[in-house]
Amino acid sequence: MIEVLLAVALGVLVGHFNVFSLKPQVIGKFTSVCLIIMLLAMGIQLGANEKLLGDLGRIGWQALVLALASIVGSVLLVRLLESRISKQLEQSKQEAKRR
Amino acid sequence: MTWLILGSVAMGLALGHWLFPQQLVQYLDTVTTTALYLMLFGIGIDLGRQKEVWLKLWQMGWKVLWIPFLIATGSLAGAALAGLFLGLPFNESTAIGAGFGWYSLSGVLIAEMYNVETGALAFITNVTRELLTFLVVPLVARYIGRFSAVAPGGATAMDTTLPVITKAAGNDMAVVAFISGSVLTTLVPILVPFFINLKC
Repeated sequence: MIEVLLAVALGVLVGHFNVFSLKPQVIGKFTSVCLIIMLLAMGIQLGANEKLLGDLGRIGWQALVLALASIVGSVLLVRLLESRISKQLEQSKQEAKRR
Repeated sequence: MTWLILGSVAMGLALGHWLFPQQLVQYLDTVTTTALYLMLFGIGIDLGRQKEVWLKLWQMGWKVLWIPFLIATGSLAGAALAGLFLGLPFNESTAIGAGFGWYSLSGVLIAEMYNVETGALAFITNVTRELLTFLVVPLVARYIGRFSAVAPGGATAMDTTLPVITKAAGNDMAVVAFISGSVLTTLVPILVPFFINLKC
């Protein structure tokens, strides 16, 4: 857990101060390669797990419920404060103009 | 990129099912752990370099941060409730919800730090969230509200689902969606490990 956060935080510092002065595309390629290695490994572990493969129907159903609930929850909360947010943003826009 | 991601998982599945020798699985762990930290480091560099977001945030005012905060809270609460209904432990459902639609990262993080079954569920859930976003954003923008239309996309509102949001909710929502998506993207590598490690 701590290691994970440290890895991200270290990256943020390196990126913010542009320590390596690398091109954005190079970093993008680098993270993509790491990601693909991990996705392949996740796939391999899944594919070797017979029980899990048989469970894909249940997992699909759970995924649909979780995804829908997350969407509904986030839309509901933003909707509750929608008019207030819109008013506040309008205000700060006008303040910015006056300045 | 989407096809590359889905293709990698599919190829891994096929390899694991038919080809991959069992003796090599132990080495797989070392490789993925190394790849995980390198990837997180790279993601950090990308996040640290995004000065454009800070600039836009400054111009819009800090109040715009209410939107990603509400989206994060709503996603987590929704996932926790769904988890209760499905009989999933709290740490699993909230960690899956904390993916905010970023399926590749949330899937591999959970697969690596927790177990591969929950990682697969996180992957499929967040893929589904992105797909559903394309379907519901036009409806949300028309019947619920323009700011609410930023919510379904979660972290993807800064890239993959940004076009559909601006098309449905108006061009002036582009900056809001971009800021909200960027903030949520930053939160994913922090919140997913946090929630999956909760013990209760």
